[in-house]
Amino acid sequence: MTEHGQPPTPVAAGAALVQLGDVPLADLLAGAGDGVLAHVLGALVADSEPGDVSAFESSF
Amino acid sequence: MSADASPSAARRRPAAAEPPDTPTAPRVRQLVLKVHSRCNLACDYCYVYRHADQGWRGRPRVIAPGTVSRVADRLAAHVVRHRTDRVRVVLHGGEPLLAGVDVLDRTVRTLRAAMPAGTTLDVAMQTNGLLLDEAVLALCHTHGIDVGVSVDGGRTANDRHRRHADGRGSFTEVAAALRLLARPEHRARYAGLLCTVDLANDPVDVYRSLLEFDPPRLDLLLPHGNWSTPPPGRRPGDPATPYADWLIAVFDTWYRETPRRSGIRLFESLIALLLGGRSGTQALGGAEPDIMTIETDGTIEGTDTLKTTTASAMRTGLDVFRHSFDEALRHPSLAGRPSGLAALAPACRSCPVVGACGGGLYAHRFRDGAGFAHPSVYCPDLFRLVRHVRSVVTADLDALRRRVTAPPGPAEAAPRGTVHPPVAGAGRAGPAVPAGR
Repeated sequence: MTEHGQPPTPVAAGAALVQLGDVPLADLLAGAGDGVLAHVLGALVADSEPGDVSAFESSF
Repeated sequence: MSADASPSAARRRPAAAEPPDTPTAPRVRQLVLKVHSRCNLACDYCYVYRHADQGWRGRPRVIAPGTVSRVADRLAAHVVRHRTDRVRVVLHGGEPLLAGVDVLDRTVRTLRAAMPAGTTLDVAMQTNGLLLDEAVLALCHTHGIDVGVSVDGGRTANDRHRRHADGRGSFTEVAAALRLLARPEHRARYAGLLCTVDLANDPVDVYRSLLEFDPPRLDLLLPHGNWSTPPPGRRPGDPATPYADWLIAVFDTWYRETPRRSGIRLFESLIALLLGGRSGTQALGGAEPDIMTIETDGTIEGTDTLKTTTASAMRTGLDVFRHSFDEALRHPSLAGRPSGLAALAPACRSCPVVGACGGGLYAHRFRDGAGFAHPSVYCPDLFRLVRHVRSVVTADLDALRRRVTAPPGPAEAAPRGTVHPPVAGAGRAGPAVPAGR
């Protein structure tokens, strides 16, 4: 983004914590489609799962 | 447990004084409650019955009402003290459904009744599914109990290990249970499937078989093992990466699917960690030890996976009749153990993928007589998996970034919702980027 001389992109609360370089996740999410990556980006923007560590995995 | 230390004798003793709470004080976020100590399957890889800790032999089959009451009191005191607004209890075993609907109903009612106002108690259950029927699901709907089911793939894969004591496979029964759970009227209670990786099974076949049950989420578990008792096919120190190869085959298949059909916690956590987020699994990212286990006799233990190391590693000598959860958390098998970077071997601390790997599951670092300050016995596999996922995700994010930052022009005419990899083979539509990039 810097190389294009654009101003910093406004970032919603929560999304600012996790960015890739200087591009807010929310902006990446807008073009990410509906695959796996979009889901994870959406979770990060919303500060929801992953992060909800499961005890299910402690069991077989 | 000695007579002197019996729960009934200990109940009369006052609890020890505890230090004041702090915002960073360790706390229990998930309680694994063993409501039944036996199982109606005899899986040959089960850590409860087939690994080092054989403590189940001396425990009550079913948790007693008085024990549940004491657990509820301890949990309530803990959440009040830490001002916790949400905590989860996982009904567990053995096989929890062997306890019966009435016991489960009474258990959840007792736990919920003890919770202070403002604290939400989420309840889940991990079952082999054999006894999952309409009556059980009615109870799950009544109490909002989310159900996770263990199944290892299709019939051949599942029945390789998940058998009855007489050798019969369990697939037919668990498949019937999963078809019931996946019905629209029950789907709200469907938490997901838990599958243990077996190198003998084809990874993509396993994934496809699990998808047939339409799970909202999959957990892929590496079989438990450590440096002294290695997992199947994993020779400690061998640079071969059979488990990474297996997992990468699933990852590439799963990642390319659009729309996303199911979550896979291991992979989603890995992507999140690579992007600076948090892990949803204890197997990655150096997660804090916030899971406590309560056995049917009220014994307090740490995470169940430590049962695969040595019997003494899990034995706390603590129980809900004599000890608060905060006292128990100070034990080395719970939050009293090192965590984060401090818990890792020097080789891990300087590893380029430590931020995502986190040293792997704590139990997998164990070496008899030397403790847990080692890389995971799965270290080569974890390293390769992290590098592979990073290369694939990085390529896709680069493509996204170019779209976001591209100057206005013809590119705007491209339809939204699809990533267009700028480099052949870099995106989800192309072949996976070679590992080790």
